[in-house]
Amino acid sequence: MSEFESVEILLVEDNASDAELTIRALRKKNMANHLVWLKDGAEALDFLFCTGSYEGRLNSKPKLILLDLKMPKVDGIEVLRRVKADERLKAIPAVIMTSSHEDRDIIESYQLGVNSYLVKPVDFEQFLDVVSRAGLYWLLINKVPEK
Amino acid sequence: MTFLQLLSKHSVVIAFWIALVTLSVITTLSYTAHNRAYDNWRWVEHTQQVSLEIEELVSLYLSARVSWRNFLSAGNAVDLHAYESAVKAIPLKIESLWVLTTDHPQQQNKIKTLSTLLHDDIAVIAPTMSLKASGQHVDPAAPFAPNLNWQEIKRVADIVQNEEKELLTRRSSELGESTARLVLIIVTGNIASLGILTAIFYFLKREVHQRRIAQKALAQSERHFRLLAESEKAANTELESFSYSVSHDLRAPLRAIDGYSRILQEDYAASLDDEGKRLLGVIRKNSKRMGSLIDDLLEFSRLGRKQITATKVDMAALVKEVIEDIQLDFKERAVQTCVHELPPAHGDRALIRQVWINLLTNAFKFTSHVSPAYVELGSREGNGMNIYYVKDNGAGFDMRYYDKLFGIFHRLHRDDEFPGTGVGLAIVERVILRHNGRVWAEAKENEGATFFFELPQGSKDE
Repeated sequence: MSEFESVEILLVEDNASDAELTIRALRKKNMANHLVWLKDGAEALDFLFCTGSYEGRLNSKPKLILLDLKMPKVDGIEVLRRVKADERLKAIPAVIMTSSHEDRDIIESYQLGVNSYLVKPVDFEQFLDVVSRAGLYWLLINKVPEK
Repeated sequence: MTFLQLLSKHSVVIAFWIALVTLSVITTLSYTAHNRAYDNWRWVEHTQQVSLEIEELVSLYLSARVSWRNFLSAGNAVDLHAYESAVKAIPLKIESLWVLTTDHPQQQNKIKTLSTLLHDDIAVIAPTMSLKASGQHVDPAAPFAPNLNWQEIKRVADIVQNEEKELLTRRSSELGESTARLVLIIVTGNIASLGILTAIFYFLKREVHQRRIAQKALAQSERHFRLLAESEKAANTELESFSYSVSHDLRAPLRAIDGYSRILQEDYAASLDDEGKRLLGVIRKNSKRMGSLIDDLLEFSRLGRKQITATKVDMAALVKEVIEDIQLDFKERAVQTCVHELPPAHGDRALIRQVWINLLTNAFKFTSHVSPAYVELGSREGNGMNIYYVKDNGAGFDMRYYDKLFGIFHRLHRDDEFPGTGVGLAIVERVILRHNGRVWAEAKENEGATFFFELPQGSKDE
């Protein structure tokens, strides 16, 4: 499982098209080399906490978590809650990327300690712009604790 | 309210007072009648008393005469005693009659006459009695002398008695008449009061019945409204979950359509001829349009559900801010704006801001084909409300289609003339309605439009 050892971006997205478009946007800026795409929240939790099918994974932490909100089984809010409640994971920047800008989702995400809340535009040019700028900011501009 | 309505409205109260007054009058009349009957009874008693006294007086006189005759003929002491006690009693009787007839001078005169007649007779009788008592001889035939007043006394006594009887008859008949009248009044009054009270009872009973029915109806309508409110709440919840899934589920596929078309354009440009590229462009244009339709629809529904937080809103500052933003969006345009005085309003700042944004964006948009473009903003005071307006010299519209103006997704211009989704004015109307205001417009095709909206005035002490 060496491919998971130096993960930079963990993309949690149930919609394959959205995932592909996101990856394409990041790849254009050369930021998709160490990206793992997981299709739902349950898988994401297994990955982050090294449980289930990811048991025994070398415990490396991603540098950025991109989370969709609405997903089957475990939704983005629940993943965010678990991540931010965990001492070892809470420092990882977690960014919600969703289609909806319902007030209640924004409020709840910030109460749980989200680092950023982005609404995915329908227009592809704008979408590319939003995703690549978010990637650039959180991976290159933003500073996080060393350990 | 007409007199009849007033009457029927206050009929119970009026009837009650009539019954009360009638009963009071009857009570007073009954009391008076009782007093008069008592008086009459006293008069009857009085008359009887007078007759009795007169009869006694006459019999005392006769007794004196009989004793006198007997004493003179037989000389018995018993007769002398009887005579003396009769003579002694006569003045007392006269005195008593005098008192009884104080109220009637004519009768008193008669009593006086009677008294004189009696005295005269006793004056004749007394000396003969004294002589006989002292043992001297008196002619026993003296009492039969015709010169005594018996006939006259009898006549006067009868007159007095008759007069009294006549008085009694007169008084009794007067009383009888007035009593009959009174009985009639009392009976009629009582029947009337009884009738009125029955009517009042009926009215009250009907009122209570109607009130019960009304209460029942009220309870029913309350239940009805509660059910309505509950179903409205359910509908709102449904709408909320609907818009939530629309915002999420519809946007993702649209993004995919637009994204993949774009990828096709980028990665396979070489394999596509011009028509293929044009078709892809059409796909992308329409997916974008659908995206903005969904966004606007969601915004419209969001504004309808949003809780209004009303404060005083500085309209002049708000408008300045909005115009600056819009001028950035229309950088390439030179629109002359003229802002008159805008007094503060009372309402939700964010919602009112959206109203200005939509109206001003329209004004900028619909003046794009004219030069110079001109937009004017102002206000006037209404009845507790401020009326604001946005006027432009742009495309205007045909007033024949006015009823479609504020409808959602209704447009009065073609998309290739002026792009738009037809939601802006629907949002304006919804926001203003939620502030209990009105919104309306005046326009002429190709000469411009003026949009007016009403908002509550922002008070100075807010």
